[in-house]
Parts: sequence; structure tokens; C-alpha cells
Amino acid sequence: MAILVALALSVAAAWLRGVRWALVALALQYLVALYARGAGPDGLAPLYAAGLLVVAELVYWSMELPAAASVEGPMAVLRVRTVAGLALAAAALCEALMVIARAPTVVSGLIATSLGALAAVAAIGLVAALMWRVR
Amino acid sequence: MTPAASPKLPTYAVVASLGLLGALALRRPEPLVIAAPFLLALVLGLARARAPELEVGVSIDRDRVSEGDTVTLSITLRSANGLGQVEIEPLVPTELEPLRGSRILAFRLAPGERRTLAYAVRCRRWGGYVLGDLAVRATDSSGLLVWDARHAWRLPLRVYPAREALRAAPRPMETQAFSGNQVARAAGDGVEFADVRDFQPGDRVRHVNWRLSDRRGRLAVNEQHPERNADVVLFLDSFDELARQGVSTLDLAVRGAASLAEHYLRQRDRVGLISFGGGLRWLVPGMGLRQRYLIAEALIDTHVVLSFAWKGIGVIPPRTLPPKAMVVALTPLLDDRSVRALLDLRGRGFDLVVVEISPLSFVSPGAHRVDELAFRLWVLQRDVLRLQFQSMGVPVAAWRPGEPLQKVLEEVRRFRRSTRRAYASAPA
Repeated sequence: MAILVALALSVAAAWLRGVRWALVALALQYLVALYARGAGPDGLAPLYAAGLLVVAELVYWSMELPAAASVEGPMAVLRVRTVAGLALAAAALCEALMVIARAPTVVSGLIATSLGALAAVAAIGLVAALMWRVR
Repeated sequence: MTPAASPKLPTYAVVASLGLLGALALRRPEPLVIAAPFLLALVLGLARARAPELEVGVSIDRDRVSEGDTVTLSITLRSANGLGQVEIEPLVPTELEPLRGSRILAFRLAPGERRTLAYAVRCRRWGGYVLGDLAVRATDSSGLLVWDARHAWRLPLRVYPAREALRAAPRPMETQAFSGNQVARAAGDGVEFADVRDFQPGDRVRHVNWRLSDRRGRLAVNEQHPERNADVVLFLDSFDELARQGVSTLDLAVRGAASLAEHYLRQRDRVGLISFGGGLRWLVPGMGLRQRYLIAEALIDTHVVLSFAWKGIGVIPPRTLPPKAMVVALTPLLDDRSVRALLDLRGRGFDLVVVEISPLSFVSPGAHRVDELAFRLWVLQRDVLRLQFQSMGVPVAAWRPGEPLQKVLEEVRRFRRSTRRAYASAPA
């Protein structure tokens, strides 16, 4: 609750750094809660992830433009559609990941951890490569 | 245009990294599920992002306007690959007020689409301005990257001071040789009756006053006042300026000078201009449409230049002050140099009129008793100065913001009617 209040205050004060760390804190809080809960899959994880993305999108949208700007009506409709589409795609992806996670695995132990680390590095590398391409 | 990461991009990257690390550390899929939407948004957004190929064009509908008029900037934009969001902020001077509520316009640009935006501004103050500078911010459709650029089009705009239509203005005491609308004091060929005198050889028969000749028993002829033009020199004091709520003494002086120039030029008088201040600028008296534009151009370039150098009327070129010219001074009577110059002009026999741009409306006495006392002393000093001018036969009329200039000029005319005798006895 405190994090949500901090997020709302940061948005009201147009404090970008505050918004960033409030969103990170929301993600971190989920991880801590998950650790505290112990074993057993969390079925609400896809919902939480999609919700967090929607909150982040809306927060940044509200802060993107100065208050003095006059925005065209169709642009807002298009943006709402984009956010909704992204949220649905995210929810579907998360659900798919949960299904894959629940399935019996062929590899386990150190190999699985190494593969996971490799995938994480690849994902971050992909984002970095895309950034580099745009520059 | 140089790309930069929007604030959203690092946040998404941090959340995604946190999720990936959490998944590895906790050996659970849920943190990965948290990271996945943010990774998806990053990958999709960055994969679709392209450097914007934005073409910008700016034009204005008019480059010469009067105060209070509206000028419309037409901003044309085209992007070959489209943009999720374009923000345009025309960088206009504060003297130009946007007519629509906001200064920033935000919209979407489809690929290949050409958009023309109209941005109207009202010209609040006279002067020369440069328009066409634009701050452009383009954002890709995902909002992850922004491109900032500034476009400078340097479109000159000249805003001429607003002119008040004057019914009547102070008439010069002396006229010049050319025909005009002022009735000369000398007798000659004209329309206005002046006097009767005895017939002289060479007088035209049609000027003979037969009724009077019959009564007197000798020929008498009528004399008329000829219609001549006059020389008027507008003396603009630009040493000092007091301002309050967007209006300054210089603003009023320039508007007054523009109104007077318009009035006298319409009457076929020759009008000159002296901008007497830190910088000295002048226009030799002239008449006609060309002179009207020259004066308007000179007026909009008027500004206060801070200077401590002593200046007298010796620095003014003699051609700018022709003999028998009427000098109309528009001054707040704040700087001793301009006051001395005006007294000097009067001492040299110039027909002088002072329109005092009253600084009292621009100053408030302080809250302290001593401040109030100082203010009262200052007001008294100004009264003494005004009396000094009036004792030399110079009318001084105060012009306050919001008052019509015509009212001030009527005050001057009334003073001149009542002190014609004082003028006649002044040094020639």
C-alpha cells in the first residue's frame, strides 16, 4: 500500500525517479512475498505481471506530455488500444510461461540453471543489440 | 535528430533484469513471468523503432502587422516512416501571445502523412521579432525512445505600434514655404480672411473689397492667410523606461509618436524623428508615404540603451531640427539629460510641446513612512520641473496609461491658446 501511495505521489509531483523506483519496488515486493510464501506455484503471477505493465504504461503516459500540451483525440484512443493489446499479449505470454514451467522437464540441476542464466544473458543482450541498432 | 532513451526504457530494463535474476536466484518461474511482459515491451518497441525522417516547414501569413493583430504560423510536417507522437513547441517571444490555450501541440503522424498546423499568435507589443523557431520532440509508437531537435526558420516579423486616430493636434506656431493644411500667420494668397489694407499697385482686382472701398472713398483690398505646411520633429526620450504589468513608458511614447506622425503626415506636414537616449537615432523631416514607413521602421527599433555619457542637443545633426520647426517631445522627464536638452531647445527658440509620459502610474510609494515621504518629495520635484517648462511657455501635459492621447493634446492646445502672448515674447 505504501508503495502505491509513493507511486501516486511521484506521479502527482511529476518525479520520474520516484516513479521508477516505486515500480521497481512493486516488482521487488512481489518477489519477497513469493520467497516468504515458500513452495507451490502462484497462479496469479500472470495477472500481477500484466497489471504491473499496465500500471507502468499508464503512469508513463500520464507523465509524457507537459500539462500545457493540447493532445489530439484520436491519439489517445490509439494509445489506449496499444496499451490494451500489450496487456493482453503480456498476459498470454505469462500464462504460456506458467504452463511451460508446470510441464515435466528433461534437464534439471546445474544444467538447467546454466541454461536459464544463458537465456537471461541472451534476453538482455537482445535488448542491448536493439538499442545499438537504433542509435 | 539524436535519439535518447525515454524514462520508461531504463525502468522496464531494471524490472526485467530483476525478474530474470529473481528467477535464477529463487529457481522459480514466477519472477520470470514478472519480467516477461517488460522484456516483451522492450523487444517489440525497440524492434519497431526507426529514426524519424521528419521534414519540417514553417511560414507566416504576414510579415508586417500592427499591434493587436493576429499572425498565423503554418507548420508543415511530414514523416516518411510515421511517428507515434510528435510534440511541437513554436518558440515565440513573450510579446506574442498564442491564441489557443497551449503552446505545445501533440499529435500522431502516419507514414507519409503531411500535416499542416495553424498556430495563431496575437501581437501584444510593437517591435521587430524573429519567428519560426521550433522545438520538436518525436517519440516512437512504444514511447521508449525520443528524438529532440530544434528547427530555426528565422522569419522576420515587424509589429508596428498601434496608432490612435487623432482629430486635432497642436498646430505649429510657424509654417514653412510649401503649401499644406496649416493656416499661416503671414498674409498672402489663401482662403482664410486675414485683414484689409489700402490698394497697392499690382494688387489683383478680384481682391478689392468694394463695399469697404465705397464706404472709405478709396480702394481697399482683402488679405488672406495662405495654407502652408509645417515642420514637426518628434523627440522621443529613450534614456529611461519604467514598466508595470506589461506596459512601459517607452511603449506609450512610441505609440504616441506613431499617432502624431500619422496625423501630421496626413496634413502634408514634414515630420522628423529624434530618438534621444543612450543611442541617438534621427530621421530628417520629410513628408509622404515613404516618410510614414521610415518613421514606423525607426520607431519599432527604438529601445532603451543604458548609458552614463552626458548628451546635449549639440549631438543632434542640425538638418534634423530645421528653423521654425515644432518639437513635440514624448518623455517621462526622468533623465536629467533629456530635460536639459528640452530646456536648451526652448532656449534656442524652438516651438516646444512636452507630452509627459507620466511615470507616476508605474511607481508605488513604499510601505515605510520614509519611503512615502521620499515619494511625495519626488512628486513635488516633478511639479517644479513642470512649472519651469510652463513658465517658458512650454505646455506640459501628462499622459497616463489607458488615457486617450487626444485628451492630452487638447490640454496642450488649450495651454497654447492661453499662452500665445508668452510665446510671442520668447527669444526668437
